[in-house]
Amino acid sequence: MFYLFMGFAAVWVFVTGYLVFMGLRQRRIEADLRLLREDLDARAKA
Amino acid sequence: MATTATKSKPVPWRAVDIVQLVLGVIVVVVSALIMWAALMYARPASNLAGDEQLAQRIFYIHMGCNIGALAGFLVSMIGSIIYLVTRKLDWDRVAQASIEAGLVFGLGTVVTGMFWAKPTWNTYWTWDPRLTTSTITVLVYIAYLLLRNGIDNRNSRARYGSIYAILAFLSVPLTFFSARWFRSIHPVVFGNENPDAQGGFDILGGSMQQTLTVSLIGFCVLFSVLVIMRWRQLRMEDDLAELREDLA
Repeated sequence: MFYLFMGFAAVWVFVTGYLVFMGLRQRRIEADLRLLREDLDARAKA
Repeated sequence: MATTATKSKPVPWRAVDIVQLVLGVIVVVVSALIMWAALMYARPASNLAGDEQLAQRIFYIHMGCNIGALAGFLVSMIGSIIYLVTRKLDWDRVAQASIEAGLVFGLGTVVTGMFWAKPTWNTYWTWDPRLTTSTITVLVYIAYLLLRNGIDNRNSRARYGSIYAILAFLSVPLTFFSARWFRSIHPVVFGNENPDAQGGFDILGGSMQQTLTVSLIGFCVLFSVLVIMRWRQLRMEDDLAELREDLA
Protein backbone atom coordinates (compact mmCIF):
# COMPACT_ATOMS: atom_id res chain seq x y z
CA MET A 1 0.00 0.00 0.00
CA PHE A 2 2.94 2.32 0.76
CA TYR A 3 4.28 2.15 -2.81
CA LEU A 4 0.83 2.68 -4.29
CA PHE A 5 0.23 5.73 -2.09
CA MET A 6 3.66 7.20 -2.79
CA GLY A 7 3.34 6.65 -6.54
CA PHE A 8 0.00 8.44 -6.73
CA ALA A 9 1.01 11.17 -4.27
CA ALA A 10 4.21 11.97 -6.19
CA VAL A 11 2.37 12.87 -9.39
CA TRP A 12 -0.11 15.19 -7.69
CA VAL A 13 2.71 16.80 -5.68
CA PHE A 14 4.55 17.58 -8.94
CA VAL A 15 1.41 19.00 -10.60
CA THR A 16 0.55 21.04 -7.49
CA GLY A 17 4.14 22.26 -7.26
CA TYR A 18 3.99 23.48 -10.85
CA LEU A 19 0.68 25.26 -10.19
CA VAL A 20 2.18 26.93 -7.11
CA PHE A 21 5.21 28.00 -9.20
CA MET A 22 2.86 29.55 -11.77
CA GLY A 23 0.83 31.23 -9.03
CA LEU A 24 3.93 32.81 -7.45
CA ARG A 25 5.13 33.93 -10.88
CA GLN A 26 1.72 35.50 -11.58
CA ARG A 27 1.89 37.41 -8.30
CA ARG A 28 5.29 38.81 -9.28
CA ILE A 29 4.03 39.87 -12.71
CA GLU A 30 1.05 41.62 -11.15
CA ALA A 31 3.29 43.37 -8.61
CA ASP A 32 5.59 44.53 -11.45
CA LEU A 33 2.57 45.78 -13.41
CA ARG A 34 1.39 47.74 -10.38
CA LEU A 35 4.82 49.34 -9.97
CA LEU A 36 4.91 50.20 -13.65
CA ARG A 37 1.48 51.80 -13.46
CA GLU A 38 2.55 53.86 -10.44
CA ASP A 39 5.66 54.90 -12.33
CA LEU A 40 3.57 55.95 -15.33
CA ASP A 41 1.18 57.92 -13.11
CA ALA A 42 4.09 59.70 -11.46
CA ARG A 43 5.52 60.60 -14.88
CA ALA A 44 2.14 61.86 -16.05
CA LYS A 45 1.83 64.11 -13.00
CA ALA A 46 5.37 65.43 -13.46
CA MET B 1 12.53 50.74 -32.04
CA ALA B 2 14.08 47.26 -31.70
CA THR B 3 11.45 46.07 -29.27
CA THR B 4 8.59 46.45 -31.73
CA ALA B 5 9.80 43.30 -33.52
CA THR B 6 8.81 41.21 -30.50
CA LYS B 7 5.56 43.03 -29.74
CA SER B 8 2.57 40.68 -29.46
CA LYS B 9 -0.85 41.30 -30.86
CA PRO B 10 -3.63 41.34 -28.27
CA VAL B 11 -5.01 37.87 -27.56
CA PRO B 12 -8.75 37.20 -27.71
CA TRP B 13 -8.66 36.77 -23.93
CA ARG B 14 -12.33 36.02 -23.57
CA ALA B 15 -12.19 32.94 -25.80
CA VAL B 16 -9.01 31.68 -24.10
CA ASP B 17 -10.56 32.37 -20.67
CA ILE B 18 -13.59 30.26 -21.51
CA VAL B 19 -11.52 27.42 -22.95
CA GLN B 20 -9.26 27.44 -19.88
CA LEU B 21 -12.22 27.48 -17.49
CA VAL B 22 -14.02 24.64 -19.27
CA LEU B 23 -10.83 22.56 -19.47
CA GLY B 24 -10.13 23.32 -15.79
CA VAL B 25 -13.53 21.96 -14.75
CA ILE B 26 -13.01 18.90 -16.97
CA VAL B 27 -9.57 18.35 -15.39
CA VAL B 28 -10.98 18.33 -11.86
CA VAL B 29 -13.71 15.86 -12.81
CA VAL B 30 -11.40 13.65 -14.87
CA SER B 31 -8.68 13.65 -12.17
CA ALA B 32 -11.20 12.39 -9.63
CA LEU B 33 -12.39 9.81 -12.17
CA ILE B 34 -8.81 8.64 -12.83
CA MET B 35 -8.17 8.17 -9.10
CA TRP B 36 -11.40 6.27 -8.60
CA ALA B 37 -10.92 4.08 -11.67
CA ALA B 38 -7.25 3.32 -10.97
CA LEU B 39 -7.74 2.57 -7.27
CA MET B 40 -11.16 0.92 -7.23
CA TYR B 41 -12.72 0.24 -10.61
CA ALA B 42 -9.91 -1.53 -12.49
CA ARG B 43 -9.71 -5.23 -11.72
CA PRO B 44 -6.44 -6.41 -10.15
CA ALA B 45 -3.86 -8.12 -12.38
CA SER B 46 -4.55 -11.84 -12.02
CA ASN B 47 -0.94 -12.99 -12.50
CA LEU B 48 0.39 -10.83 -9.63
CA ALA B 49 -0.06 -10.96 -5.85
CA GLY B 50 0.52 -8.92 -2.69
CA ASP B 51 2.36 -5.60 -2.93
CA GLU B 52 3.18 -6.28 -6.56
CA GLN B 53 -0.51 -6.56 -7.41
CA LEU B 54 -1.31 -3.34 -5.52
CA ALA B 55 1.60 -1.47 -7.10
CA GLN B 56 0.38 -2.55 -10.55
CA ARG B 57 -2.33 0.13 -10.18
CA ILE B 58 0.45 2.73 -10.43
CA PHE B 59 0.57 1.67 -14.10
CA TYR B 60 -2.52 3.76 -14.94
CA ILE B 61 -1.04 6.99 -13.60
CA HIS B 62 2.43 6.07 -14.90
CA MET B 63 1.05 5.74 -18.44
CA GLY B 64 -0.91 8.99 -18.01
CA CYS B 65 2.28 10.83 -17.04
CA ASN B 66 4.05 9.17 -19.92
CA ILE B 67 1.52 10.41 -22.47
CA GLY B 68 1.65 13.90 -20.87
CA ALA B 69 5.44 13.97 -21.22
CA LEU B 70 5.29 12.66 -24.79
CA ALA B 71 2.67 15.28 -25.71
CA GLY B 72 4.82 18.00 -24.12
CA PHE B 73 7.98 17.10 -25.99
CA LEU B 74 6.15 16.53 -29.28
CA VAL B 75 4.30 19.85 -29.09
CA SER B 76 7.56 21.61 -28.18
CA MET B 77 9.22 20.22 -31.30
CA ILE B 78 6.29 21.25 -33.52
CA GLY B 79 6.15 24.70 -31.87
CA SER B 80 9.89 25.14 -32.34
CA ILE B 81 9.74 24.24 -36.04
CA ILE B 82 6.85 26.66 -36.58
CA TYR B 83 8.75 29.37 -34.69
CA LEU B 84 11.84 28.92 -36.87
CA VAL B 85 9.66 29.18 -39.99
CA THR B 86 7.37 32.05 -38.95
CA ARG B 87 9.54 33.80 -36.28
CA LYS B 88 6.40 34.41 -34.23
CA LEU B 89 7.28 34.40 -30.53
CA ASP B 90 3.94 32.86 -29.61
CA TRP B 91 5.22 29.55 -30.97
CA ASP B 92 8.37 29.81 -28.88
CA ARG B 93 6.14 30.34 -25.85
CA VAL B 94 4.14 27.25 -26.82
CA ALA B 95 7.41 25.27 -26.98
CA GLN B 96 8.59 26.51 -23.58
CA ALA B 97 5.22 25.95 -21.89
CA SER B 98 5.02 22.43 -23.39
CA ILE B 99 8.49 21.51 -22.22
CA GLU B 100 7.77 22.72 -18.68
CA ALA B 101 4.52 20.72 -18.52
CA GLY B 102 6.27 17.77 -20.22
CA LEU B 103 8.96 17.87 -17.54
CA VAL B 104 6.38 17.75 -14.75
CA PHE B 105 4.96 14.58 -16.32
CA GLY B 106 8.39 13.24 -17.24
CA LEU B 107 9.48 13.45 -13.61
CA GLY B 108 6.14 11.88 -12.67
CA THR B 109 6.85 9.00 -15.04
CA VAL B 110 10.28 8.34 -13.54
CA VAL B 111 9.13 8.60 -9.92
CA THR B 112 5.98 6.49 -10.34
CA GLY B 113 8.15 3.93 -12.13
CA MET B 114 10.48 3.84 -9.13
CA PHE B 115 7.62 3.19 -6.70
CA TRP B 116 6.32 0.44 -8.99
CA ALA B 117 9.80 -1.07 -9.37
CA LYS B 118 10.50 -1.53 -5.65
CA PRO B 119 7.88 -4.25 -4.97
CA THR B 120 8.24 -5.66 -8.51
CA TRP B 121 12.01 -5.69 -9.12
CA ASN B 122 12.98 -5.35 -5.45
CA THR B 123 14.85 -2.13 -6.16
CA TYR B 124 13.88 1.51 -6.74
CA TRP B 125 16.45 1.93 -9.46
CA THR B 126 18.43 -0.13 -11.92
CA TRP B 127 20.42 0.98 -14.97
CA ASP B 128 17.92 -0.59 -17.34
CA PRO B 129 17.93 0.95 -20.87
CA ARG B 130 14.35 2.27 -20.50
CA LEU B 131 14.99 3.86 -17.10
CA THR B 132 18.28 5.33 -18.22
CA THR B 133 16.95 6.80 -21.48
CA SER B 134 13.87 8.23 -19.70
CA THR B 135 16.09 9.97 -17.16
CA ILE B 136 18.40 11.25 -19.89
CA THR B 137 15.36 12.69 -21.71
CA VAL B 138 14.25 14.51 -18.56
CA LEU B 139 17.78 15.87 -18.02
CA VAL B 140 18.03 16.96 -21.67
CA TYR B 141 14.85 19.03 -21.29
CA ILE B 142 15.97 20.47 -17.94
CA ALA B 143 19.08 21.61 -19.82
CA TYR B 144 16.78 23.35 -22.34
CA LEU B 145 15.38 25.54 -19.55
CA LEU B 146 18.89 26.26 -18.24
CA LEU B 147 20.03 27.21 -21.76
CA ARG B 148 17.14 29.64 -22.15
CA ASN B 149 17.88 31.25 -18.79
CA GLY B 150 21.44 31.89 -19.92
CA ILE B 151 20.47 33.98 -22.97
CA ASP B 152 19.38 37.58 -22.43
CA ASN B 153 18.28 38.60 -25.92
CA ARG B 154 14.66 37.52 -26.39
CA ASN B 155 14.96 36.61 -30.09
CA SER B 156 18.27 34.74 -29.67
CA ARG B 157 16.75 32.85 -26.74
CA ALA B 158 13.84 31.78 -28.92
CA ARG B 159 16.08 30.82 -31.86
CA TYR B 160 18.62 28.77 -29.89
CA GLY B 161 15.86 27.30 -27.73
CA SER B 162 13.97 26.14 -30.81
CA ILE B 163 17.01 24.53 -32.39
CA TYR B 164 17.80 22.79 -29.10
CA ALA B 165 14.18 21.60 -28.64
CA ILE B 166 14.14 20.05 -32.13
CA LEU B 167 17.41 18.19 -31.48
CA ALA B 168 16.32 17.21 -27.96
CA PHE B 169 13.29 15.43 -29.37
CA LEU B 170 15.62 12.73 -30.73
CA SER B 171 15.80 11.36 -27.18
CA VAL B 172 12.03 10.65 -27.19
CA PRO B 173 11.91 7.87 -29.86
CA LEU B 174 15.14 6.50 -28.36
CA THR B 175 13.34 6.16 -25.00
CA PHE B 176 10.27 4.60 -26.63
CA PHE B 177 12.25 1.97 -28.53
CA SER B 178 14.88 1.34 -25.82
CA ALA B 179 12.93 -1.56 -24.28
CA ARG B 180 12.51 -3.09 -27.75
CA TRP B 181 15.98 -2.52 -29.19
CA PHE B 182 18.09 -3.26 -26.11
CA ARG B 183 17.98 -6.02 -23.50
CA SER B 184 15.59 -4.62 -20.91
CA ILE B 185 13.49 -5.93 -18.02
CA HIS B 186 10.96 -3.09 -18.47
CA PRO B 187 7.58 -4.41 -19.67
CA VAL B 188 6.41 -3.24 -23.10
CA VAL B 189 2.74 -2.30 -23.00
CA PHE B 190 1.96 -1.90 -26.68
CA GLY B 191 2.79 -5.02 -28.66
CA ASN B 192 4.17 -6.91 -25.63
CA GLU B 193 7.38 -7.50 -27.57
CA ASN B 194 9.85 -7.90 -24.72
CA PRO B 195 10.48 -11.52 -23.62
CA ASP B 196 12.86 -10.41 -20.82
CA ALA B 197 10.23 -8.19 -19.14
CA GLN B 198 9.66 -8.66 -15.40
CA GLY B 199 6.43 -7.57 -13.71
CA GLY B 200 4.40 -7.37 -16.89
CA PHE B 201 0.71 -8.25 -17.07
CA ASP B 202 -1.98 -8.63 -19.68
CA ILE B 203 -4.64 -5.97 -19.94
CA LEU B 204 -7.65 -8.21 -19.51
CA GLY B 205 -11.27 -7.18 -19.52
CA GLY B 206 -13.06 -3.92 -19.98
CA SER B 207 -12.28 -2.27 -16.64
CA MET B 208 -8.49 -2.22 -17.17
CA GLN B 209 -8.82 -0.96 -20.72
CA GLN B 210 -11.38 1.70 -19.74
CA THR B 211 -9.25 2.90 -16.81
CA LEU B 212 -6.23 3.21 -19.09
CA THR B 213 -8.27 5.17 -21.67
CA VAL B 214 -9.67 7.55 -19.02
CA SER B 215 -6.17 8.08 -17.66
CA LEU B 216 -4.63 8.81 -21.06
CA ILE B 217 -7.40 11.26 -22.03
CA GLY B 218 -7.39 12.87 -18.57
CA PHE B 219 -3.67 13.50 -18.58
CA CYS B 220 -3.87 14.97 -22.10
CA VAL B 221 -6.51 17.44 -20.87
CA LEU B 222 -4.43 18.24 -17.77
CA PHE B 223 -1.42 18.84 -20.01
CA SER B 224 -3.46 21.17 -22.25
CA VAL B 225 -4.65 23.25 -19.28
CA LEU B 226 -1.12 23.61 -17.88
CA VAL B 227 0.23 24.65 -21.29
CA ILE B 228 -2.52 27.22 -21.91
CA MET B 229 -2.04 28.74 -18.43
CA ARG B 230 1.73 28.93 -18.77
CA TRP B 231 1.56 30.21 -22.38
CA ARG B 232 -0.64 33.10 -21.27
CA GLN B 233 1.73 33.86 -18.44
CA LEU B 234 4.81 33.83 -20.69
CA ARG B 235 3.03 36.20 -23.07
CA MET B 236 2.27 38.53 -20.17
CA GLU B 237 5.92 38.41 -19.03
CA ASP B 238 7.14 39.31 -22.53
CA ASP B 239 4.66 42.18 -22.81
CA LEU B 240 5.77 43.47 -19.43
CA ALA B 241 9.43 43.29 -20.43
CA GLU B 242 8.67 45.22 -23.65
CA LEU B 243 6.75 47.86 -21.78
CA ARG B 244 9.64 48.28 -19.36
CA GLU B 245 12.08 48.65 -22.25
CA ASP B 246 9.83 51.20 -23.96
CA LEU B 247 9.65 53.26 -20.78
CA ALA B 248 13.37 53.05 -20.06
